[in-house]
Amino acid sequence: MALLAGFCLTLLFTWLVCAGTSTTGGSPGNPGDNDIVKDSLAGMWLGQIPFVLLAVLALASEYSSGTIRATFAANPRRRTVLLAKTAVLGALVALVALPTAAASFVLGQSVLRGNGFNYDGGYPEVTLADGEPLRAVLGTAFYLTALALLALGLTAVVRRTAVAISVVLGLLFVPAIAAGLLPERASDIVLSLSPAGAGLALQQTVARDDNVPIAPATGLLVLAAYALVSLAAAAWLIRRRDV
Amino acid sequence: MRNEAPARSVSGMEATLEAQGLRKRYGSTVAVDGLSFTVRPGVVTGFVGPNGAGKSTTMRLFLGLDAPDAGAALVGSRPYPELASPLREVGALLDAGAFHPGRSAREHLRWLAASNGLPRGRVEEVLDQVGLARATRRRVGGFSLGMAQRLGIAAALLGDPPILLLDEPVNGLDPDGIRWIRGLLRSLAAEGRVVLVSSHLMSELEDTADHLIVIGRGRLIADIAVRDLLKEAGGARVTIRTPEAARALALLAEAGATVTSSEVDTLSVAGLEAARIAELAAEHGLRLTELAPQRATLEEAFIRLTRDAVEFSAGADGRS
Repeated sequence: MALLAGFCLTLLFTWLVCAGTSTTGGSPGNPGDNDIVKDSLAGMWLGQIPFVLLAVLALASEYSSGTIRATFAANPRRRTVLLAKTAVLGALVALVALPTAAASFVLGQSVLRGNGFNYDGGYPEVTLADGEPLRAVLGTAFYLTALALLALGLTAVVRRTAVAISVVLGLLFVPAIAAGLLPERASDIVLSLSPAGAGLALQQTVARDDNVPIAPATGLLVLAAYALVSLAAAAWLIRRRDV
Repeated sequence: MRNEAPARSVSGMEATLEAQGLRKRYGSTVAVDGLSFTVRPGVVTGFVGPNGAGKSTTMRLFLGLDAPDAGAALVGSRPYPELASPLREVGALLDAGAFHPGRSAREHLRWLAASNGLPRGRVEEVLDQVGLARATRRRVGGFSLGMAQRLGIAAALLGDPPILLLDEPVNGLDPDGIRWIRGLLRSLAAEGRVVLVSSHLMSELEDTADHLIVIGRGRLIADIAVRDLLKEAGGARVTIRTPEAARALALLAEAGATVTSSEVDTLSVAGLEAARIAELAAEHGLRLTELAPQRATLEEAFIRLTRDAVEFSAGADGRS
């Protein structure tokens, strides 16, 4: 259910963003500075929420219903249980995130082309066969997967639904808000180190002033680090704590 | 699957439940303090204590859900986390609520069976055994307390384990259910299993338990057979009614009995058998209108034992 919501919301938001974006006045070889690849993946910002909620609720519901005690009584090797949950969630999210990102890109591109972002306006056609758009799409799918795993680890640490949801959503949206209020240098650092910023870095294909100032590869590492640290903390605590 | 042999084994070792110097603290509260006992197979062992005595904590320690601060909780000589297929060795009912409300009874048990490699057929078998055969596909969230208890018991029986740990299994059952579970526990023990049943009401365990482990404030108070506890508790009193209470009192006291009086013409006599009292009365022409031997109840014995260990109690006039 949540996966379907993720898919739909992403596409819906992408369409909204792209439908509202248009350009005039360019010509072949003289494009404006819009990043049409990034724009066609904009749906991710709304679509990420169902994916993350799925990750949190899948585990938090076990703690709130008390089933976790039955789980750990039947399987006292708790780290193995955590590993299994991680693998299943990761595979599931990745499996849905990839077509979601691809579909978002295709939809976004077709809408944007109708709004003047085409060859005549200085924006040649791009498809998934091209390197950079492919990287952006794969990066978006990776972003969603890493986020889900980050959320899972966090939930295992805090063990309470409301706290987990608050922290995860805060982690996603607060840095962007803070960055808007801080002076430029500080704002850049905050963005570069935040999960959302890292996700944006994976989608960027055009040099712009408002870009996140890190390379896509760095963005990948930042996201991977978030997921790994969160899961490592969960693995360490889950064995030592009382249930 | 049915085993005729006397003592079951846990991975080849004799099935016992052993606590060795268990200590567990939650924050500033010491829940269990230096608890040591062994639960043997073949009898129903009641694990009794007032509320807050540490019964649930001890059970959680046995199941590896909490780690002891000191000491060890051993299942067949090994700690729980070391068991390869725990549901085959220990079946536990901890609290009736620990189910995912959206699942059906069958799905819950199937998941448990799959997690420990138990044969699928066991699910239907245990659901039948606990009387939930007609509710297998219903959402657990809609179960009554009694049904949830039965499901929990089914889960405990799933792996046909030689050790059973049941925390307040009688909670929420109607009289029919109570009678059923009493029979079930006794038959399980008769098959050579270790059966540990906790309760905070001694009356629940009367006629069910053969052996008792009594704890209070986290400490062991008694590890004793029911027979012996009843004897020790001062055993039988005899209630007599007579219009000549004062004379009877003097007579019996002289004969060495301890006599107390609760109502005008009713005396409660300890230390003399009913037959002897009747003899004395006849010899001295004392008229008795009632002569009734009273069996000591487990509950009285229990209250006397744990009087000092009750954590929460009302004051003498009902105010706490």
